[in-house]
Amino acid sequence: MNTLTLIAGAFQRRKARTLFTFLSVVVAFMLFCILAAVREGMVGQVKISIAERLDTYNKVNQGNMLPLSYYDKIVSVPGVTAVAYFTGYQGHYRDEKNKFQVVATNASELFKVYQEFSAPPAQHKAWLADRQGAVAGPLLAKRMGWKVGDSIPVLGGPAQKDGSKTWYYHLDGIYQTNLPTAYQSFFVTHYQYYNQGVANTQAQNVVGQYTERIDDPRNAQAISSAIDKIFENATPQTLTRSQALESVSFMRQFGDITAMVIYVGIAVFFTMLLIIGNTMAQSVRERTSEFAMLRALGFRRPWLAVLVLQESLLLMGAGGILGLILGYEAAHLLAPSVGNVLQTFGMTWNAALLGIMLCLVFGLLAGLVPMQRVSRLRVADALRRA
Amino acid sequence: MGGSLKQTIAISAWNLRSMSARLKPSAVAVTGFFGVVLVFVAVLSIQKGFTAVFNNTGSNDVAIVSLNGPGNMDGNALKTIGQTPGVAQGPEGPVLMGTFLSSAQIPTRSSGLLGTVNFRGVGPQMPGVWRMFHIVQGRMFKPGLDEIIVGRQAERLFRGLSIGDVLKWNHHDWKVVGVFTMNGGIHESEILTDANQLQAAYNATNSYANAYVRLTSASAFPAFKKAIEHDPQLSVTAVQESENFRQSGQDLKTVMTLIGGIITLLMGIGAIFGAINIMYSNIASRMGDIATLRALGFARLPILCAILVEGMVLGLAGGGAAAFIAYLIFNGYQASTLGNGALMAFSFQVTPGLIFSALLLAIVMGFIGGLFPAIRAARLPVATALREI
Repeated sequence: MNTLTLIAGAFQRRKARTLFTFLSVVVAFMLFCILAAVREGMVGQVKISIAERLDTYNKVNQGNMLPLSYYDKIVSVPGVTAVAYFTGYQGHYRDEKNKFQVVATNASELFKVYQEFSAPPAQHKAWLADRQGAVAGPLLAKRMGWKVGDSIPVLGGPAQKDGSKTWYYHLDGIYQTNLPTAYQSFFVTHYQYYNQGVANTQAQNVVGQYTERIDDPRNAQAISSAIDKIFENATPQTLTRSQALESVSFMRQFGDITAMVIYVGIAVFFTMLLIIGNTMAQSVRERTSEFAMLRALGFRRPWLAVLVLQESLLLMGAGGILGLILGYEAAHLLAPSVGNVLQTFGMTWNAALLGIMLCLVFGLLAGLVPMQRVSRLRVADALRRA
Repeated sequence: MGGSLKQTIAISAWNLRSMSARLKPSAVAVTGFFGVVLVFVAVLSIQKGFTAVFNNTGSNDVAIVSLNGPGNMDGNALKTIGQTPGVAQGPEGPVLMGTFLSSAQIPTRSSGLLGTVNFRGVGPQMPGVWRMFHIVQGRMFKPGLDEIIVGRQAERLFRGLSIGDVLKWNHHDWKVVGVFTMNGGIHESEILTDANQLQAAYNATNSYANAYVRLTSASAFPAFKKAIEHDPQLSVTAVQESENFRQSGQDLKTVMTLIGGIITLLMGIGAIFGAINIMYSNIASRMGDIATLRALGFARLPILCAILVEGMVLGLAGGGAAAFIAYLIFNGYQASTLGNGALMAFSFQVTPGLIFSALLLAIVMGFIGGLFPAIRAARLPVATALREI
């Protein structure tokens, strides 16, 4: 008879209790995953938006446009190494449900400004040479079933000069990025094609924003001011900030309530573990006489203590890991629905490791109290009570 | 049946009176329910308060007209809009205003860090368009001067926006001369001034982000929309003001509902599992008592019901305490978040309806938690159980 047989016996003693305790652990760690994913959604953005990148917007309002003619002046600011500009529209493919963001940009600079994006060299080259070309994010291409080389009509765009709202593109490549889900579903196209096609004269030769790559993040503030200084007396004026600053400010303003939900959630997570621990302790208490019997049979105290500890570790460990796996899946499923607001929502390896550590620590703690009880057991008393 | 009910009441009463003997496990179960209900109320009160701001914004007899696509409209476009059928007429012509929407960065009161505030330029017809607008302190700004009025929430959210303060923004010194309210809507988190004055500060004279138009009635909207969207001189879209803001909060609301819902669901399941365990061991320690009751002639059903009642009472105890504490802490709690591109204030709302749902949730959890143990107790073979005593 080995330890495992004894533990299996203990678990089978009250099957319902073992099952529900196990399920409680699973649920608690699923909750942990969701909380970790929300937190990542709040702080993850800051990691992506590095200080080497600046964004320039219309000073009146971020939604307003800037003239394309600002490009040459911004590029010539000392310290700026590359500048991308962006505009675009929301289009759909075949069905209105298949919506995605069509980004129109100066393709030659994009991968210099966003070095987190890449594409196979042949595809990248083909795209740069093809005015009507596009590269799609891996998730978008998968969702729509596109292959490189496909011809893609995008519906629901702004009216073109001939009145048509359907824009035709060639899929020249699929870009890769290690950025979170929200960044893997863009449809990136050439600004020139958009600019020459769009009918509305107010939408021509304007961009939604400029994004600059700079040589040294320590100069972010100075370069931002230098850019804004150029347009101080122009219409419109600009507002430039490093992306790091921008996302911190965004999350600080947005985060109030989400942070609160997380705090309450953490409190509940620990309460759940407390309740689970209590149940485990009780299960040992009920078996006092059995332990006394084992003692009487010659099993040593330390051996019994380790037995109790193993039991609690096994229950907490197995439940915790299953919970982490299920929670990871749940967070994965949720990500697209909350991606609009929490772009970086999702589980990270760090969070998973923390989860594993927590379930080991709680497995130990939950075993500790009953373990002490067992090791202090007075055999004669316990047997008499039985 | 009457006998069953009597028996149920008798056992329940005895159960509840003897609960003090099982204080610790009962307290643990109550704690579980307490946590779930607390989070449930917290999440929903945030969502309710947040949604209320949008629901209090805008009326259905005001239309917002904006350009199709990017760009701004000029004064001529405003004139054309004013001549469209369905626009209400006042002593000074059509009741409409062009707005110039900019955003300013101002330190917040809570952290001192910069927050975004909508700094909106409005036309002289503003009080006619926004009928809910009221000056509650100070006076209206004078056109042609660098004077501003601030929403009651904006004054609370940001530093240096009280009457007499001067806001330095975009090379102008804007003097705060009044505080206004607008039915608790989102504009109460904004700063208002004369449109021409603000346009000048941004070198953007004669450019409007959109136009707010008072219609003769809400029913005039469809015809107005049709007329204005087919006007060859304009390329614009029109939405009802009330609809526009109902859409605005949607993204954040989805996130709150989904994440809040899932967190509450997981916690609820966890608490129910916990309760089942506790009730099981409660029952296990009372097997003898229950067997005695059965031997005395009590039927299975009343025993089952009594244990369900016990579960529900535990649920109600935890849930009731949580709802009460949540009400004390959260009701009216002032918070802010990003809405519509700028910081907006809102207060948590713990409504009677919400408390009712919370108590219902607690009772349902208690019921489910008690169900399996209750079935086991009712099925207990009397003879075996009595032998175990």
